[in-house]
Amino acid sequence: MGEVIKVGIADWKLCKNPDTITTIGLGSCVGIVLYTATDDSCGMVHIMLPSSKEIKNNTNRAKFADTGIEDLLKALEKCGIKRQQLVAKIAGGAAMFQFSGKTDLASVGERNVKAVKEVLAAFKIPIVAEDTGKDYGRTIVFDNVAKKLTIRSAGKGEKVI
Amino acid sequence: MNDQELNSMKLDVLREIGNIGAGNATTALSVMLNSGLRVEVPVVKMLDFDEIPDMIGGPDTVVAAVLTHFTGEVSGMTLFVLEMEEAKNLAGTMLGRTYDENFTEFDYMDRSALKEIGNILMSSYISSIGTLTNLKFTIAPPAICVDMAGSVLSLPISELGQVGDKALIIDSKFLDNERPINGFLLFVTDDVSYEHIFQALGIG
Repeated sequence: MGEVIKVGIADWKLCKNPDTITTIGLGSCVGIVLYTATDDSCGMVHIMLPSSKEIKNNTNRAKFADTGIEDLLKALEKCGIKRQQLVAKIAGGAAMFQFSGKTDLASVGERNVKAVKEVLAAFKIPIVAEDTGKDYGRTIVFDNVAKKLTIRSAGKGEKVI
Repeated sequence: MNDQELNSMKLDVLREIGNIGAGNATTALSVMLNSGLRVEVPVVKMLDFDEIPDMIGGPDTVVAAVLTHFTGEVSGMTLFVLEMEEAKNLAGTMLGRTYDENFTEFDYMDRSALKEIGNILMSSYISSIGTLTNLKFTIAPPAICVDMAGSVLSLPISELGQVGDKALIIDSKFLDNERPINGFLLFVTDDVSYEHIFQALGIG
């Protein structure tokens, strides 16, 4: 077994086999894993907002779906990975609090998931598995040897996609 | 807002706001629960987003959190976050219930009780800021969530993320008959609201 690489909030990291890569406690945020069927390296980004274009203060690029995924993609390409071979698994984007009445707050997760899908589509990276939405938090661990994403939720056990 | 812009006078004001808010909130809750609840002098701090879940045992610690948001001349949200044992204590006190060791999940009544406790705490907290500053805002009904701290806190963190990369936090801790409660009340607002607060108090 290798080490476990931790991706923080608004952060991305690369991971090389046999290490695994994780991010803890995704709520409305979305975790995106980019990998290929054959390469030893993969990467994960933990985004918290849909778009860098709507926000004035956008210096931390890993915070947003658009710039976060773009930067991770470039880092993977620098390792010699071909963009055409990349696929994605995504998880998160929950609505943690159920508010009475409609508010923007309740839909952050949903908007994050939508933005992630649009960005991945624009880069022509297919999403091969996802576990998104609903109302609970997720901790995710990606094993790039088995190509499996394990999702742990409080009181709900484990799920592998 | 960054560390440099926060001079010691403003920090004192924020600490005092937190103090008055939490003091009123504690009184309200003590009366309701008939208990000896006290509040510590709040800590005002600037944290990286990753450090916020560490305030209560790390991002995978299961917590119960009640969130209220408010809009107007001051906009933002408050969160009352409790570690699970504390949440059980409080809900149990209010409902006259005990929870056995096989306990896994709060039912509707428990959640409702915790939501009400959070509501009373936070409404008195926010109202006292309103009284102090004479600023107008409306408070929305609260919502509750029981889950991993990282997931629960992702909502206030993404709100803060829209304006910066750090969070200015007023963190109030409570004591139950001198025993520290493992939880906190968090007050988060944006730079514009802070400016309104400072101006209203004559230190703009």
